[in-house]
Amino acid sequence: MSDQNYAEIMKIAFQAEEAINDEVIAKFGKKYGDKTVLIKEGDVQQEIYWILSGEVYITRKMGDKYKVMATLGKGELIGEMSFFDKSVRSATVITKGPVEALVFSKENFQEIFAASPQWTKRLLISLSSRIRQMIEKLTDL
Amino acid sequence: MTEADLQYGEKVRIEPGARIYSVADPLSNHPIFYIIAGLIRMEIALANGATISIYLHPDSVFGAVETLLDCPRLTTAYCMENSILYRWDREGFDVASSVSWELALETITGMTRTLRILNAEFGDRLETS
Repeated sequence: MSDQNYAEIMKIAFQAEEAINDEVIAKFGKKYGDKTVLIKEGDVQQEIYWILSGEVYITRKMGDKYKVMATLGKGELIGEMSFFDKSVRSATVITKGPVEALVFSKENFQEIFAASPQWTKRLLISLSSRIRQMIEKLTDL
Repeated sequence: MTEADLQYGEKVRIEPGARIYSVADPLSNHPIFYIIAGLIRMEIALANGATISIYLHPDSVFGAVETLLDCPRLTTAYCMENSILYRWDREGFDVASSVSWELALETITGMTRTLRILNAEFGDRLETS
């Protein structure tokens, strides 16, 4: 599965209408100033960011410098590959101006679950579809 | 997650060497499993005759993919050690995973882990196939 496919799954799961309401924003919303490092390359961090407003740079260290790989904005999810299962962050994410985002961590999964049980169902079915597609491809090799 | 969180299904003991289900099997009455103790091997059979094994440890959930998608089994599941499993029918799992965030989290984490293993091992082959 490519990173892009995984991001699509997570978008479907997180962008369920019932997943965004005032209660969710009040609980998980955070505001960041310009040039704030949200994620650092090489760290192990199980948080996922859902950008509500503003933009962030996705950067990778190349030698002594950081190269901007992409700029992401409203509605984008960041950090989903590390959310449910620990993995090392592959990029540094820095805010480009003021940013407001929902920040979910594995530790507050219980609250996310309570706020939107449908999110869990959508995610389970989406992940199941991806596993089925991968296995079906493998069995055709 | 503890055994106290397991409800709306039943506990079963499985002998080593037992085949829990085989690829292409229709779904049984209790198609979703949680490993309380023991070791399970999931086997994926490739068209060239080779097989891929993924080993599942306690606290893993398996059998949910086909059940949620209502399709025949995609893999074969073998019991490798004396194992104690908890199993649900579809409705029981829906209820259990609706009331237990721990079960939902274990199931999602297990699926994410499976995807990462498949992607890490075979991602290149799949992209070029």
